[in-house]
Parts: sequence; structure tokens; C-alpha cells
Amino acid sequence: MTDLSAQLQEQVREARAAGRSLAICTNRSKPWVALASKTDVLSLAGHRGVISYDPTELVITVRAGTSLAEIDAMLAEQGQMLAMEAPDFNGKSSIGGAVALGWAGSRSTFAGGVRDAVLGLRMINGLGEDLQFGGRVMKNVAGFDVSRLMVGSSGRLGGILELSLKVIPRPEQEITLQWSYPHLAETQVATASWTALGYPLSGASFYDGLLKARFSGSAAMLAEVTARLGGESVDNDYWRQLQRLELPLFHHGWGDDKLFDCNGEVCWTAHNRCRGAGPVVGLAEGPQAEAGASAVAGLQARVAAAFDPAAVFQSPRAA
Amino acid sequence: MTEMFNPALDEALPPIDRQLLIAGLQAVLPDQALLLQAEQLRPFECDGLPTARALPLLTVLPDTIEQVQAVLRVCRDLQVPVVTRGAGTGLSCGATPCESGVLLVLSRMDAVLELDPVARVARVEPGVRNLAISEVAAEHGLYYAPDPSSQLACSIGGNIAENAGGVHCLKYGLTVNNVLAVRLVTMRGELLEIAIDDVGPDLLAACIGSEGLFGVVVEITVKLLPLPPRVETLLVAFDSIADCSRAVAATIAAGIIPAGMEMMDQMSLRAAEDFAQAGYPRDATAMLLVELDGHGTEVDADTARLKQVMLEAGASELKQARDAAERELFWKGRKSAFPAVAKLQPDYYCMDGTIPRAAIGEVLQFIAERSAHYQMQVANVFHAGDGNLHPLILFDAAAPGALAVAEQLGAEILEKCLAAGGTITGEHGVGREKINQMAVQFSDAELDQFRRLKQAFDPDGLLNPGKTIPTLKRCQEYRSIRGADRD
Repeated sequence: MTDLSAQLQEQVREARAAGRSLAICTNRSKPWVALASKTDVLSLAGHRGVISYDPTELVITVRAGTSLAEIDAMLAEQGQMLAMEAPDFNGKSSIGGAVALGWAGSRSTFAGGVRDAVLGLRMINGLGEDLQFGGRVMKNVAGFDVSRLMVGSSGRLGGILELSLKVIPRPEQEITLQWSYPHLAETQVATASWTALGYPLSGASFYDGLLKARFSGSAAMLAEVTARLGGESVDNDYWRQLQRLELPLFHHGWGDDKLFDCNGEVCWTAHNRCRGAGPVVGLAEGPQAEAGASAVAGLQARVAAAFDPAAVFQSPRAA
Repeated sequence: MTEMFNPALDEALPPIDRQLLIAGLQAVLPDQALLLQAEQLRPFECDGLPTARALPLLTVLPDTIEQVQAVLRVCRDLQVPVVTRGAGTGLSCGATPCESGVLLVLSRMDAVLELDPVARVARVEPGVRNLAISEVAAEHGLYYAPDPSSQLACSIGGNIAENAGGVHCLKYGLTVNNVLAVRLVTMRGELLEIAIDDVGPDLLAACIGSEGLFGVVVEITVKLLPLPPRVETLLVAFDSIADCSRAVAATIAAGIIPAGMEMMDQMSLRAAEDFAQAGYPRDATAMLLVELDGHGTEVDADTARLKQVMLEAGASELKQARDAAERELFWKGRKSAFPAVAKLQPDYYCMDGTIPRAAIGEVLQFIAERSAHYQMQVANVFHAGDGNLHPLILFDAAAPGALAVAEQLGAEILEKCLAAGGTITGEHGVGREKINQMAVQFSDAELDQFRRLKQAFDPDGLLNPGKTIPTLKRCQEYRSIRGADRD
């Protein structure tokens, strides 16, 4: 439990005054951040700890450097969890890094992504100001939604100091089943028919002709799912390996070998990730700002300047 | 009074040459898309919160995205403010016209463009009514989850502007959690595609709830959900507000996430019962309406557990809807609570603070005390599951000074919500109504950050001026008056 807000704020002010740039990092667990070199670093790694957690409010407030694993362990004690299942690279990712990246894992299609979990945050902008947006309640529409704007911002708008996150009850049990399917499209018809029946689907991936589906619920519910759907049982650890990019695909897959996660919404290869119609993100480079003179690129640049007029914050990868 | 636009405290607006503006718009719009006469403008003078009224310079009713782009280009060239309006059901004066500006009404753009039943998405125009999406989706066994009380009339474009909620938010989220993409026209007339799939800061989330200050949303892709195969609805009566509040927290503590969890106090439930004959327990001090949905196996197990939680929390009576007809009746009471309470007095003022669930009892007690102090009745009917209060302050606008007292009481309730760790608005938005309370919830640095973000979208400050984000001057003025009141 360490609160470094004051030092971090001072560091940003000094950098701005001196015209130097800072790369915001926490545990440097992302594959591309590991390559970062010489720029000064605003490290949130030591700014960690749980500030408050009340299970009956379904909210936890944590400092940005707190690890995903630590948060999960604390929530598990109360029979709760984060819905977002963000990638935990090398098992050492922090919550601040996970939100700045904004990648939600296999459960996101069914239980909500990173943005759906974020209720509020405290941050330092490029002026070195300590700002709070959103809050600890489920519904809050006062002012613009800066908390969720920060999701996916990759340290370009500012440093996240604290996050208030929505939590959900941890399911009593989970099972993973698999079946052969010729194409992704047929798996999507199948999963749609299952959720229409109310089956508690919480993961659906397709790779190498196999649909793997996870269900989360009571023992009675899962027994019924197994009896009705059949399928071959698979170890639930598959999903953790997928989130950590530890599946064999990521070690020795062919360049065009594709794994579809999130019911087809996310496509992985050994070297990149793509969500829906969005751009392909290389695992060696990390997310890039929208390039070129497109209207959205212009808007992204103006939004970044609104938070960090002197461009103090640099992407850790570009450093 | 909800404060009218005040050039001394809000952004000063330049004078507009109306004839030049009309000529510019006539060149890009068909005649029937332009309303110029005072009697044509009158129906648009206010939204669902009629405490602030103004006539716009003129109203435009475009049919196409190209027309919206053209209107915004003309307005930008002439530096004319633009207020966008959907169905006009908003409750925060967010769509109150600007007297020196154009009112852009999107009600004619009301087509459901596409629905994919497997991907479970629908692409719609902004003027489509909220409930109409669910009606079209129903033939595929699907629905659109956010369900504000005004869902029969309100438009999806307005829902985007306000980040509208409803009774099912705890389980299914607000508008922001159910929208996948928007097409946004900026004041420059550019058409931007902003989607959840984009890489970079979540501009989609920022646009939702931006109250018409960033751009004009001309197309929306929403997420659809399968209709739940089983729904169970329970009416639970309590002899005290405290027991009822505890039952809410105990439900969550038991790991149950209800689809809906509504609380009504005695005044509300009696008014609703008299109005709708819903079978509510008239003698109860407070009542919960709880709905569970999902697969039958899970819902049955949760219903049994929920009943036990309610009894342990001190429930005096518990009724489970026997069939769909009775469930409809239970909800009819809840949905008619506002009009039912409104019959008790000529006027009511609906508040919208959110608080942590644990503070419900304390805040309701505060409301009761202030209600007695001002001798003004307050009925409480609200979304208990997510702590979103809707105190209804009853008054008679014809009585001298009554509206001012109602608004003073309302402001105190909102500031109590903030003090309890909550927010001044859970789902209705800030608009013009809560502009002063923004100075209490946010610091100057935070409000400055909001202003710079607004400028990134709308550098000239032409979209919905005077709403949502107070000027520094207004903040100073309000804080000093508020400080003086406290002294």
C-alpha cells in the first residue's frame, strides 16, 4: 500500500517545465513495452494497493499499480471477480496498464469489457493536475465520460492513479466444452441458439476447426448444459493461457493461422490481434494512434492535446 | 428557477443576422425542413423539464445525413449556435433551445436501417424511438436493454446524448454499455465513424452522454440481447424504510444480481395503487419490486434464495407474480407512479441523484427532514438496485414562490447525494438544470479539462452553449452564494 500521487504529480510538472517527455509504465508486462529504451519513465509500479472494497456495493477502488492477480485474489475471497478478464501478460500485469490498453478477454462479449467495468478514476493530465472523474456508483452521467475515454488511451492522455471498478458475483462453477465445426459462422449460429435458451455462455473461441465454449453458473445449470449439448470436456485453464498469450499458437503458429476469440469478435494470430472492423495491432509494436489525415486521426490528436497540451506523455513503445 | 441563459455568467453569444441564416439554410434544405414562424416554433420551446423555455431563431427538420452536414456547415460559417433535439423527453433542460441559435430536430430520421439477428446488432437512425427498436427485434427473440421510463416516446439519439438508463441498468448497463458504434457529424460538417473496435482512447464512450456538446449523432449501431426465457417478479412489503434498504444490500451480498430492483415509499405506492390497482400492499411503509431473469434453472434457484433474503431482512409480505399478466400489472403500478403521484399536486419536480446502496436509508431520512422543513411533500420511487434516486418534489407552481422552494429543496438533495459519495445525476444528465451543482461536484481543474475536451470536438463552442459545463464565472458566483447560505 503506497500512495505516490504527490511525487508522480511533481514529476510530470518538472518534465513539462523542462520540456522533457515521459513514458508511462507500470510493470512493463506488455510484449512491446519490454522493448522500451531510454526516455524518462513515469512509473506507476510502486503506486499500489486497494483503497476500498465493499462487496455489497459491487465496487473496488484500487491504485493503478496494483496487479490483476492481487485484485482477483481479494475479490475471490468475497465470491466476486472483475468481469473483464483482461490479459495478464507474464502474470504480472497491473490494473492501470490493463485499462490503458483496454483489451478485454474472452468473457467480455458476454459480461462486458474493460470500459464496462470502469466506474470512475483519478488521473494526472499533462499539466500535472490531479483530476477525478466518474465515481463509485453504477450510474453517473455528470460531466463528460473521461473515465471511459481513458480506456485504450495507452498512456497518451495521462497517468491513471486510481480506478473504481464494477465487480460481479463469481460463478459457482465453470466448464469448458468443445465441438468440431467447419467454419466460424456456424459456431456463431450455435452460440446464438444457446444464449437464446438462457445458457450462461462466458467464452467462445474457434481455432483449427474446434469451437471451445465456456459456461459459468450453478452446478445444476451446468449439469443441464452438459446433458443437453454434449461436447468434449476441456480444461478451463485454456482461457487463462489464451489471455496470457501462452497457447501454442503464439509460440509457433504460422503467420496466417487465426484464432477467433469472443465469439468471433477478436481475431488473434501469432503476431497480432484485431477486434471487429478495427485495425490490426502487432504484438511487437503495440497499439498505434490512428495514422494519417483521416478525420478520426485529427480528432484523436486534438483530444490528446486537450489533456496534454505540451505532449509530455510519449508512448512507451515509441520511446 | 432553472436559470435561463445569462450572458453575464454563461458564454456570451454574438448577435446573429437571422435573414442571412435563413437564406443560407434555404439553399441547402427543402422548404418543409425549415420552420420559421413563432407558432411553429412554440412546440419546441422546452423539453420534458418545462422550467426553462425559449424560442429558437428557427427550427430545422432534416431527413438525411447530408442535410445535417449542410446545416452544420452553414451554422459554422455564420457562427450560429446549434441545439440538437430528439423527441424532447429529456428531464434536464438539455434540449431547451438557444434564443440566438438553430434548433436541429432529428425526429424525421427514424428508420431502422438494418438488423442482424445472429450478430445481434441493429443499425438505426437517431429519431427511432427506444421501444421501436425492441419491437422490431422481438420477431427475432431479441430486445434493446436500456429502458428509460419514457421509452415509448424517447428517441435513441436522445438516449445517446444523455446516456439514458432505466430499470434494468444494474444487470444490463446504461446506453454506453449497449452501443457499438455511432456516426457523428462535427460542427465542421465532417462525418466521423466512431466504433468500439477503434484503437486509441474510447471516443465512443466519451460521445455517449456528451449532451449534444460534441457533435450530432446521425446513425447508431446498438447491441441486442436475447429475450430471457424465464422472468420472475416479486413484490415485497416492509414496515420500515431501514429494513427495505437493508434488504437491497443483502440481496447483492447474497450474490444475486436482479434484472430490476425498484423501491417505492408509502406515498408513491399508495398513489400507484390508487391509479393502477396493481395489487400493491397499501399498508406497507416501503415496497420493493424485484425482477429476476435468465434460464429457468438459475432463476428458480435465485428466486428461492431471494425470498429467504427478504424474509431475513424483515419483509412483512411477499408476493410472486403468478403469470405474465400479473407481472405486467406489478410493473404497470411502477411505471404509472410518476403520473399517479403527479395527481396529488398540480406539479412535480423529479430529481436524479445516485448514491452508494449503503447510504439509501440515510439519504431518505435526510429527504424526509428537509421535506418537513420546507413543508413540501416528496415521494420516492427509484432504482434501488443501483442506488439511483428519483425523489419527486410535489408543489403547486401557481403558488407564489413554490417553484423556487422546490428547486432549493432539489439542490439540497443533490448536494446530499454528493456528500454521501454519489453523484448529482445518474441518468437524466446535467443540461441546464444542474449546471450550478457541477461546480460542487467538480474542481476548477476538472471543469477546465471538460472545456478543453469539448473544444477538441467543437472549437468554436457552437453546440448546445450554456449547458452541462458551467463557466468559471458561474462556478465562482454559485460557490460564493452557496458559501454565504451556509454561513
